Amino acid sequence: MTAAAMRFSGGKDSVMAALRMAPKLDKLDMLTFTTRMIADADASRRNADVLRAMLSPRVEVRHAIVDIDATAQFLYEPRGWRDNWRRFGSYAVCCMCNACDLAMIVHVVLHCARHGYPLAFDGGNSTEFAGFLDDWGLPKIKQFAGSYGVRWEYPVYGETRTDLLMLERGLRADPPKLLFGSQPRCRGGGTATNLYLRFYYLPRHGADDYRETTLRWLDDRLKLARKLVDAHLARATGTPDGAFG
Amino acid sequence: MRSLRRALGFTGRLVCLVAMLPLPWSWRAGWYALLGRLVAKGMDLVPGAFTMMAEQGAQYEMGKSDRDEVVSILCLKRVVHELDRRAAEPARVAEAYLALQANRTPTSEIPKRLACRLLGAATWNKLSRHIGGEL
Repeated sequence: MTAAAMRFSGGKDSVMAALRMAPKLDKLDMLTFTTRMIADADASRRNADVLRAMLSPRVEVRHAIVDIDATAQFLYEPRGWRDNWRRFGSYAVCCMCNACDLAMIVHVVLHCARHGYPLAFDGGNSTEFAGFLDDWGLPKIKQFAGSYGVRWEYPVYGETRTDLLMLERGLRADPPKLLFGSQPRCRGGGTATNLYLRFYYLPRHGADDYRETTLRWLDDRLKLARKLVDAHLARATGTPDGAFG
Repeated sequence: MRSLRRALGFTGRLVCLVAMLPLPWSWRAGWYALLGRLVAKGMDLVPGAFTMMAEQGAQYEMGKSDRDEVVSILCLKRVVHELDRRAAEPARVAEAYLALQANRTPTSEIPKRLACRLLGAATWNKLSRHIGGEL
């Protein structure tokens, strides 16, 4: 049995990930992240409460909403617009999702390192369109988490219908429950990234170039993420995300 | 479909041009929020937008690439939300769902069959409008 922290939105993927991992856990901290690009973070509370009811008392489930706007902004534009443009062209300027995702991962790793949790996971899924959460990007995230003694898992990565799995899990419970995704809404950063990739970047540069540029971006930002985590861990007291004291 | 593709292509390039500008973080957030609202509205109103997304996913080997699956995911979301809104008895939903499973109903068909059984065909047509799941 072990303690873990997870990136939790309250959507179908993260709920299923929590349900899949629960048998291995005795403690689970679910972190929901918000930035000024995210609306209605409170929507995650519905499924956090449902999971708490389903998993306790065997698993101690805690949920917190954490503002990571400063981290996301830093990872999006660490050295300013001009530098972003010089290194990655329009890619780093237009793709918000990478910075947002990585900021969340950084905070989960930090949370685990602070509390001595050996395990972290999320609902990362192969059916997502944009970002580094793909076969070729995941090893780098695992490596990053691993360097802080945290094993990062993707329990529903290969599932294409987590919505059905979640519905079935709820309906087979005793008593049956109607389970569905209830999560914060991206105000538009994801939409902008999607439009940019689908109608500008990919038709122009192709999928291979996309992978290469994304990995280059990830390598660059992971170096900065490491500095960020190290600096926070070097501080003697308090948690940077404020979750659970 | 071609005019839709052209319209979205134009929007994509416009987004790109504005996003390329050295905007402060808060301005960027404001611009994306406006864009997000417009696109969400457009996706609801324009038939075929969701299936086009699936085709593009397949083209670039990214994301959801099966047209029926994309439609089914979106429809199931609407159906379950509607069941919750109407405070449907979970035991009744469970009975209907497990019966569909026992009959080996293809997963892409489950939202339609579930909705028709528990909400009626008229509600199903309303819920699946513009996604591509109409009867």
